Amino acid sequence: MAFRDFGWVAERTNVWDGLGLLSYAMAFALVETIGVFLIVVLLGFLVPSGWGADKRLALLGILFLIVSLWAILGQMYSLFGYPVPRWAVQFLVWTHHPLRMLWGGVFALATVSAVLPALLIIKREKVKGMIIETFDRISLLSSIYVFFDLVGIVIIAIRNLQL
Amino acid sequence: MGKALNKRDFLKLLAALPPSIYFSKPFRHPDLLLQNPDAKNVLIIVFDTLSAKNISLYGYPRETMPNLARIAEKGTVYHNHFAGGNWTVPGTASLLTGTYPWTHRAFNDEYRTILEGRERNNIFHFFDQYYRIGYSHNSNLYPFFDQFSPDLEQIKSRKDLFISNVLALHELFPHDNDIAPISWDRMMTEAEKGYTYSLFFAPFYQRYSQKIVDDLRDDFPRGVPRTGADNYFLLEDGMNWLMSQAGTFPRPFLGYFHFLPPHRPYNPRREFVNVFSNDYYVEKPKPGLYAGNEGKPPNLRYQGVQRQFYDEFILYADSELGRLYDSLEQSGILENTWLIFTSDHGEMCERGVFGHRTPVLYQPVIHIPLVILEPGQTKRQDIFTPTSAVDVLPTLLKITGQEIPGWAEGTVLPPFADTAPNPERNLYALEATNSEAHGVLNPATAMLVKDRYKLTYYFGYGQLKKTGPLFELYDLENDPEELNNIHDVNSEISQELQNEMLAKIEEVDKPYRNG
Repeated sequence: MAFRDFGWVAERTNVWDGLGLLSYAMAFALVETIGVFLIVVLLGFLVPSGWGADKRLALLGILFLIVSLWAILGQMYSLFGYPVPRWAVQFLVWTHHPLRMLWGGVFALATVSAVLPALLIIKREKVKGMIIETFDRISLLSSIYVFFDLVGIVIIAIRNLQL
Repeated sequence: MGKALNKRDFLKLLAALPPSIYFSKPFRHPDLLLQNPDAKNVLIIVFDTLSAKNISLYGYPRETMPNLARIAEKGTVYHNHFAGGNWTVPGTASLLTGTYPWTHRAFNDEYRTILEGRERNNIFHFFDQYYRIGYSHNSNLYPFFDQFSPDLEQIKSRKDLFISNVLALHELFPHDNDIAPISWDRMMTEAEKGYTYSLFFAPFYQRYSQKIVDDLRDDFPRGVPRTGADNYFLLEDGMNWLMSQAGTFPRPFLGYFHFLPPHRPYNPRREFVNVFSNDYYVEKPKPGLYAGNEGKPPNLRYQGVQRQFYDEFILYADSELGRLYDSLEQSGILENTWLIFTSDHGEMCERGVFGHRTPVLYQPVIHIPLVILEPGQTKRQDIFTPTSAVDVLPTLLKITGQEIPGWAEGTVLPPFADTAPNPERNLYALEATNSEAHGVLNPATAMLVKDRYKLTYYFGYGQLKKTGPLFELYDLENDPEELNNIHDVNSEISQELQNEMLAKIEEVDKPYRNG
């Protein structure tokens, strides 16, 4: 949004409005992140309580990451307008149940993509360690976003509380 | 020293922030002084893109606006009323500022605002003893409303009256009823490239919004009325809101309400669909000009269908206008209210031109309705003198007993003026979408109407490089369809109007010429 909208809003009105626009985007994104975070927390109740904190963290974190990657892939698919490969369409037609096959295939793919890393984390300490280290670094990066989110909320508050 | 906030307290504070923002919403008009409680209200209703050509009240063969005709029986009907421009920005700016586009300079896509320094030259500014409120379905009005905000007690958010606005962002963020929805749209609704910034919630939000719209599809077979990709709305909602609120505005009030129908897409309610499909009304083909369809013959079948759809959408809008009028009359509000009904510009379904963002300024694009209902008026009055959108501001000032500022370019409309209309008066309109907002006009199309004659001046367009500027002159009295261009440099009237037009362009360009 910084690249796409800040310029024209700032030009049409002023830079303060442009910053406001970005602040709302950050705030909405924060609300979404908190929502997803809460869902992950709820999922955490399904994880056996006997597992150590590291293992639980790695498992839920990787699931969150996988879901994010799928969502990003979905956006990129729309963004670049990739067509469905002709062979895939022909296959779906050939099955006579294209929707069932499509959803079934997507479900299988999503399940495998989630279960495989989860199993690796559960079974292999080395993988778990790698994931934890990765999340340590991602957390650092995320804290920058949290900072911007907070700045955004402050800007929104100032804009709306002014008399 | 107080205890520092711990992480849990801080999160609690964050959670409490949105409600605190909402409940601290400032009350906008606590100190409004209504010093003249006997003054009449002024209610301006604008239907976007309503061409007088397609209105039965003005002689159109299809009965497109029976309710407007009924309303006009108690009002003053202006038969030769012209918009200031051919799309919402210049047209509405002329209406609200009483100046032509080359003066207010809101005429191109990049700068959709009134020239800096002239923001207070607006209709609302003079009514400071009134409760002033503005609403528009059309987003182009909001940059004006923002500029005029010191002169408005209430700017109703456009999304308030949209169907899928379930979040009431404008209430949560009262000072940002423009940018907060833009951010939300970017997050949650698919842009032209088909993606959203929100990774997770957007699909759920879109499905939810779409379901609301889907439920309406049976009633709107051509699609639910919308502006942009997904701002769905019902004119009924707008009218219902106005009907329920008009009686509650502090008196006297000045209300400006701008509704999008019959602007494209032409999506009327089911009962109006195909009403005109079997009336065999076919208009005579008209010559297309250079700026119309690039010399290609117009597709008459397509033209007929477009016109039918447009007319049916007008009929639908008219039914809602009738409902509003009946409600205002029954509630007694009209006894104390001046009602002004008009449009910002027209629409064209001929000569291979469809829409209104076009270099041509033929009558369908620029000839708009104006009906004024005076409180207590019982008899219809018809005015055939040419009038302009810029005349509305001085007229409203006159009828409410206020002084007319020297910068106003319009004059008081008959029959409210103290003197008879000047037959030598020049009226103008301008299309200059591709001209610099703060530069000389080029390319542009300028229109001049004087008495029965209409001169159109096309200049600076690429297609005219070889031939030079183009003039058209029509005798609107004998040739209202503008079929015979009578411009001839040797004729006296051609020469006179041409000179006046060139002098005017020279005058308005002067401040922008180097040196």
